[in-house]
Amino acid sequence: MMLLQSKHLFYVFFSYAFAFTCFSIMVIRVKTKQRQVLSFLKNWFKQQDYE
Amino acid sequence: MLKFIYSLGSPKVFFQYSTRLSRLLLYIAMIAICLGWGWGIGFSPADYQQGDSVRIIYLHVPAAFLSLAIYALMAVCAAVVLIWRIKIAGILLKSAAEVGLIMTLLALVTGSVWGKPTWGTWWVWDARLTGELILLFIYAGLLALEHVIGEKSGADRIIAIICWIGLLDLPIIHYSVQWWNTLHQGSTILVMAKPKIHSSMLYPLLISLLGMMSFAGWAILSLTQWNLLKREYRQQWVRTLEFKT
Repeated sequence: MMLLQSKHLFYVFFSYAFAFTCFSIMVIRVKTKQRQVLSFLKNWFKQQDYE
Repeated sequence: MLKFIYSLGSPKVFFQYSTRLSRLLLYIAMIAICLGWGWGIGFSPADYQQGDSVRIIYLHVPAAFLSLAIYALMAVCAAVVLIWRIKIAGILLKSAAEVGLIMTLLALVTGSVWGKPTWGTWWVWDARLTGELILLFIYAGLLALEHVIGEKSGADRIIAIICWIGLLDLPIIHYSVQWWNTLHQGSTILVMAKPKIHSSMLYPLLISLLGMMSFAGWAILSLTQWNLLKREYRQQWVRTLEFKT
């Protein structure tokens, strides 16, 4: 009974850990995109000012 | 109201509203996810048959709901692209596909993990499960297509047409538990009828759903904003915005 319960808790733990990983990937994706675009815009404006 | 929706077609107006809305969604998501998952894992009762593994419901159901809801949103965007040719709808469609892919993967993995202690197997070629797997491939296919054709002229329209073809999978997934005799259980929460679960499990489930919806909304809006700025970088309004961001 105890073994069964701990097995069930492992499945629950694994699911939430996987969800946390997925959510982290999404946050990293958004932040990476933001950094890429801002850096691109910064370079573009610098180039425009130079011209 | 219609005038407001029409004004959102302007990239500048869309960016202004979406910045405020995405921040609000992120706060709601953080609070609701902590509350919903905390309640679900720590305080809601275990099921008399499934034991503690029932706690996966607070993750699996919102993820599965979002995998379908995001695709429905993409289909609406695809219609806007095809009918009115509004650029923002095309960008929104692509951003939503990224989040939809993650949500579908989450629904499949958590469903599989839940299936092992409940059904005794990780996977069955059940109509609902197979339909969801096909949805994952559709999301991946759309993203791959977007990657290949990039921002060439007509790219948005091609992706919108493919998106509409993929829409056929949605009613199959939703009604599969009614049309066929499947291993997967029927809907737990129904819009037009009383929920089939006790309130001690229903409330944390609804809060988790709100949290995950807000998180998905934040991710979609944020990706749309940055993709929009990248596409509109030559416009004067982007130059004025840059100092604020």
